[in-house]
Parts: sequence; structure tokens; C-alpha cells
Amino acid sequence: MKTMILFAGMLLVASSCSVSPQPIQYGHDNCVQCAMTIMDHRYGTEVVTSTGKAYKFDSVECLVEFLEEHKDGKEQFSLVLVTPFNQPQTLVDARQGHYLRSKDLPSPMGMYLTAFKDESTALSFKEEFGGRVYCWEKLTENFDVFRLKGIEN
Amino acid sequence: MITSAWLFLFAIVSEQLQASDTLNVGKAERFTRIGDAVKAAFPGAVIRVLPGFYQESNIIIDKKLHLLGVGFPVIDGNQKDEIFTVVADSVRISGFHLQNCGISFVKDLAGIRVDQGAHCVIENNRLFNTFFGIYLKNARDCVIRDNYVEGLAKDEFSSGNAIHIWYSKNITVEGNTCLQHRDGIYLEFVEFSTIRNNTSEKNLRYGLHFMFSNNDDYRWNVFRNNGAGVAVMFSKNIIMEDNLFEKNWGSNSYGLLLKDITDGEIVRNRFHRNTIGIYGDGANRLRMAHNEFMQNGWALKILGSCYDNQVTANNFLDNTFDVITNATVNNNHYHGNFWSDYTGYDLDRDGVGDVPYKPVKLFSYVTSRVPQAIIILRSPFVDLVNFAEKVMPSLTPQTLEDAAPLMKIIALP
Repeated sequence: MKTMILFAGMLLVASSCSVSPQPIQYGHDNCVQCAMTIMDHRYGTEVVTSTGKAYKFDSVECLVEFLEEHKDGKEQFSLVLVTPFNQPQTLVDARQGHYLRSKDLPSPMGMYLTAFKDESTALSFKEEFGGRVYCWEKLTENFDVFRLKGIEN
Repeated sequence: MITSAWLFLFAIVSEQLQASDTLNVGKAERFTRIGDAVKAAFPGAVIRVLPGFYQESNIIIDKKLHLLGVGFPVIDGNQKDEIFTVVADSVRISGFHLQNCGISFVKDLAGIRVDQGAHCVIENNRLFNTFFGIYLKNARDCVIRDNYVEGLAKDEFSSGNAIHIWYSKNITVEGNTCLQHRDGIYLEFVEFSTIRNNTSEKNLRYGLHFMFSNNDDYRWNVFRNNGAGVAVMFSKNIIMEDNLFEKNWGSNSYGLLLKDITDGEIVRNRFHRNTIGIYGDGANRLRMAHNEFMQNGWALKILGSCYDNQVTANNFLDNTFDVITNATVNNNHYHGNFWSDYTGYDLDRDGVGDVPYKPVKLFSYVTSRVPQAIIILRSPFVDLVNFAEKVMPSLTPQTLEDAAPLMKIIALP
């Protein structure tokens, strides 16, 4: 009996999908939000639900928009991931990331948002390109303002 | 005496003018490098570059000049940096063969860049393996004409766009050929511009791509064999006329993608052999008339987010499915089209079928939910299901119908 329960338990564990980042197939995957083919490997983003389903996006813009539209709690998002600009094709935690908004770095969806893994890298790119650095909370807070107002730095 | 002094003066002036007027660059000429000639030239000069091979990059043109290639001199960027960077008004660059720009992951390097220039003309050049081909940034009143831009894009990493225009106004792009880049022609924040008579082929993503661009038009272009033909996104008032969208095949491919756009005209275009002819998501108040949809997988895929579109007087010929939607109510207007799948009759002989045509088949509805179902497409069971739905609609939007389907194909120009 015990082995049966153990076996059933193992089966359950095995069948529940693992929540892990899924690599973005650049040039093949389409952005869930804007329907464009994801091309720029410095800008891909992704959300993984608690059941292991991945939604992929071509930019930080589409990621934030998607999260805003799915606030109703029907799906739990276990992982929210962005690609750091200087580390193409990797994915890191978006909530820990820092975001440079510079008019000299146009991002795929026209809002000039570029992600970095940590604040110091973001600041070093700010040295070169100008603009302002935001943490995730400030980014989402100001997102509507960014969308409505152009960029002036 | 006075006359001879005048003559002397005139001779000096005219010689200087001559010198500043035209500067030759070539092996046996005063200048052997284009960059040196550009530096030495006075504004308004013509720089004639004679045939030859020039290994130069980062030539910055900061005054009004006409750079004229004679017999297509080759300028090789040696995989470093850009070739021509224009930061002045009224510059004309024509007749060059440019090749091998640098590739950068931070900067969009280009064969020819115009940065904040007005009234520039980029004409009759050939560009090979330039990361971005012709790149306009904050430009206005410029013309990009009759260039041939070919990339080596095999994957998405090493590819820029053949013609890339950003934050510009009044640009004319005509007669260009764009091959094997990421997007053939890319427009972001571009207004009052015309794209005509171009051919865009074998690009990885789109043949032509509008982002946040209003009041533009594109006419008489050919979009063939691209990842997808044309994407018009987040834009208003785009006129699309007389284009050919051909062979844009693939699981996620389409001739024309309309995403969040309003108030446009799609007239007299031909959509031949695309997976989806037109894919509309958030497309509103468009007029689609006199188009020909032939042998596409789906002629139209119009999602429920599309409102008040007029689909009139088009030919739908031999498409696997004519229209598919995920909506349960119909918010668009289909009227007076010719549908090759129409099996109705015309007893009063007025040229208009007496029973409405319902272009959404039940089975296309099924495939939109379960794509794999497509493998039973040709089975008799599918015909049965479609017939049953036609007689008694239950899943397809009831009002999605053409109440006046034509009996004869429309003669299109």
C-alpha cells in the first residue's frame, strides 16, 4: 500500500509540469501580445505560469502590458523573465532587473526600455547612452506615463 | 589693361571653382581615398569616384556634396563600422557598390546612414552584406531610389533591416530591391511617406513593416517569400494599393498582418498563395475592395477585435478557407464579393446570388481551435459537417455572410 501511495505521488510529481524558463526561439516564436515574430535577441521576455506554460514576448513593453491585462489572478505567474541587453539570449528575473530608458536605445515596441540584470550594469550603460534607470516597481508604476508621453532625454 | 586684369581674376576664380566643383577620386587622381576628398571639398562640390576597390569606412559627410560613383566603384567596410554617415542636408549618394559593414550588438551600423539630414537622395547604389543597408534617422524630405540591398541573413542574430527609417517625415522609397535582411523596409514613427515600386523578397521577418507610423502609403510593391509579407502595426491612415503579396508560407505566416490599426484602404492588391492572406487583430474601419485572394490557406483571418471593416467587391478564388474568425458575433460588413466556393443560384438573373454566402465554414472554426485537425481536411466527414452547419448554423457567427454574392468573377484592372 505504502509503495502504491509513493508511486502515485511520484506519478503526480512527474506529471505536473516543471516550472522553468523556456528558451525563446528567435525568428520562430511569435510575441503573444503584439503577434510579431521575436527577432531581437537582446530584448526577448517571458512569463511562466505555475503550471509551466510559457508566454513569450519580443520586448519589455509587451511583457508589462500582458501582466497588466492578466491581473485578474486566473493564472499565477511563477516566473517573470527578461533578457539583459548585454547578455543576449539569457533570461533573468524581471523583478530584480533594472531598466534604462534612453532615447538612444530604441526597443522593439517604441518605448525605449532596455533591461539589465543589475543596477550597476544599467548605470554603466546610462553613462554611455544617457537616460534614466528604473527598478521593476518604478517601471510598472510609470508605464502608462511612458506610453502616453514621448521621450525627452 | 583693366580688361586683362579682370580676365586674370576671372581665370583664377574659375580655376578655383573648377577645383572645388568636381573632385576626382581614383588610383591616378589627386585623391586616392574618398574620405580625403570629402574633407577637402567645399560645400556643393561633386566627388567623382572612379572604378576601383576602396577599403574605407566611417566616411562622415558633413556638408552638401554629391558623391558620384562612376562604374560602380567598390567600397569595402572591412567588417568595421559604417561606410557613409551623412550629417548634412542636400547630400546625394549615387552609383556605389558598398559591402561588408561591421556588425554591432549595441549600434545599428549601416551601409549609408542619414542622421538628421533633409533633402538627401540615395540613388542607384548596390549594397551587399551591410548589417543595416540604408538607415534614416530624424530625416525629412529624402528620397531612397533604385537601390539594390542584399544581405546574408540566415539567422536573426546577424541581420538588420535593408531600409530602416526612424522618426522621419516625407520620405520617398521607390524602385528598391530588398533581399535577405530582417525586414525589407522598416518604418518606425514615419509620417507622410510613400513606398512604391519596391520588391522585397526572402527577408527573415517582414517584407515591409510599419510601426507607429501614420498617414503613409504603399503602392505597386511586390512582397514575395518573406517570413511574412507586410505588417502594419499601431498605425493610422495607411493606404495600401496595387501590391502583390505572394508565397508567404509558414505556420505563422501571412501576406498582410494588421495589428491595432484604424482607417486604411486596402484596394486592388493581389494575395496569392499565402498561408493567411490578411490577418486582422484590432483592425478597424478599413476598406478592402477590388482585391484578389487566390489559393491562400485562409484568405482572411479576422479576429473578434476587428470592427467596422468593409469587405466589398473582392474576388475569392480557390482558397482552402475564405474567412475564419474567433468571434461569435460579426462586426464587419461583407457585401458584393465573388466567392469561387459559392454554390447558390440566381433565378432573377441580376448577377447577384439569391441566397447569401457564408464564408466561414464550421471546419475552419474547428481548425482554429485544434490546428492538428487540418489533416482530415479532405475527408467526406468534413464536407458533411460543413453542410450541416450551413443548413443550421450553431457555432459560426450567423450574421457573417455576404448577402449579395456575385455570380461572375469581377474583372479587376
